[in-house]
Amino acid sequence: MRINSSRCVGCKVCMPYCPVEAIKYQGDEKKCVIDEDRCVECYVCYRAKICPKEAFEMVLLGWPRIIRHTFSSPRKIQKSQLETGIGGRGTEEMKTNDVTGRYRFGDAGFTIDVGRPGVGTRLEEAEKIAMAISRIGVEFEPLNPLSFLMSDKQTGKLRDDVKKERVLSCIIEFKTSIDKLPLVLDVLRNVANQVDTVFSVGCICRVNDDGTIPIKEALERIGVPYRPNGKVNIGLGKPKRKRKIVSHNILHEDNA
Amino acid sequence: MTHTLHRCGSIESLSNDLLVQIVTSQQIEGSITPRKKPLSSSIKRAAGQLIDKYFDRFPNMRIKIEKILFELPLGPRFLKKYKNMIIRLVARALRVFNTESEFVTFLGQLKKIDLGSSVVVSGLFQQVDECLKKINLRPHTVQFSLGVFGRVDRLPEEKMLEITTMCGHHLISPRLVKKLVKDVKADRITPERAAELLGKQCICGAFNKARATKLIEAYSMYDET
Repeated sequence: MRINSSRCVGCKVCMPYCPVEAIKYQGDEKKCVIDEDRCVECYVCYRAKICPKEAFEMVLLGWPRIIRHTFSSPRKIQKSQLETGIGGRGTEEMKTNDVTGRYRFGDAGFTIDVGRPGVGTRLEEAEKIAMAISRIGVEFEPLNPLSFLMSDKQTGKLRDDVKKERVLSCIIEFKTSIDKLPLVLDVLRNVANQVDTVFSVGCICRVNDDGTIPIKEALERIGVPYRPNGKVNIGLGKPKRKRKIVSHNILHEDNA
Repeated sequence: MTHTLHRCGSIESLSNDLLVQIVTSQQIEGSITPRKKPLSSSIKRAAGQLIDKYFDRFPNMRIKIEKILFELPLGPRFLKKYKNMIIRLVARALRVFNTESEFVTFLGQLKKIDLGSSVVVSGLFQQVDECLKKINLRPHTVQFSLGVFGRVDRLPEEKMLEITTMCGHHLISPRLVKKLVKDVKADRITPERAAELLGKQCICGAFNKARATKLIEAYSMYDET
């Protein structure tokens, strides 16, 4: 994204809209400019249509700068297969677990939203976290766009050409067994002191048939706090290969 | 896609913030490769985009059509497939509810029509549990938020995060919230209008405008800047 300087009148109306504060005012020229290094190409400024002179202009993004747009703009996310090979900033993760069976009983899934909330990150910060996590032997989600950018999926190392790219957020997804939960949290606490950004941690598991939640019990046992709100897949999806099998909840009702 | 997981706020405020998302999987069970997208799915997506554009202009029409579709009798099995296909196109993939009763009613309707797509809800675990029990459903998989790690000194204040975390992709800038709060304080705009302007930045529709209105109102009274 760029601001056409011949059109800009320096009214500063656009400045508060930028989520990463990349729009700067140049007092000597009385114009607004975009700090290209800071900009994550989310196109919020362009979509907001607030410039009275329509000075915002889209520019053709080449490789690897296109990565910024791919991870930062939800509109682009839907068509991002070209850049990362995979659609989306993350995957369907637990959202379709009743259909895909991605997380089985005994699994603990993790989603690490690097740069979130609202701080943004360079991909090299995400690499630091992924490499630290990889040392305890986890399984990175192969369909995740960030996994796709890894040159070595065993170590979590990213391709050199994308490391300096800055995005609004990106997600590291992996799964391990529930008994490794304390170990994962130790690693995350340690790496938190080494990164120059923030990251939000999500933890996923299947609910037992008796209604107990293994992750919840494990977190309470080791004294790790969690938010009172979160996400619940209510089991209405039907596995694609087994169309005749009724969904998790309807089966439950029949048995009841 | 964890955009409705890390919403901040007090229990009281979050109790009026319930979300429902309908997700049709692109994968098949036990496989890590996505399904090949046939031409028909591209056509469906294009049709969905056209329908979305239409309903963006006439939002009340979506509610009316949905109501008709949900209340249609189940009919013969071969018709159910087409009915569900239309519902998937018309029903918004991500919905925000401010009241428990509307939330329960909508989930009940989804259960009744048996779309076959996955349904994910976000909200307070205890409240969601109680709502699910009312319609005889139970959780299949859960996701907890363990909070924020790293350079938390860079985060805006908690009151600001209550508003900005409602946009899961964080397209709402804290500076914009501050500006609008100032405008509300100076009586230049109403809290409702401020919430609407913020909501426009959130493309995926996860932003709860009614909750934001209340938060902006409270924030404008608290803010000293």
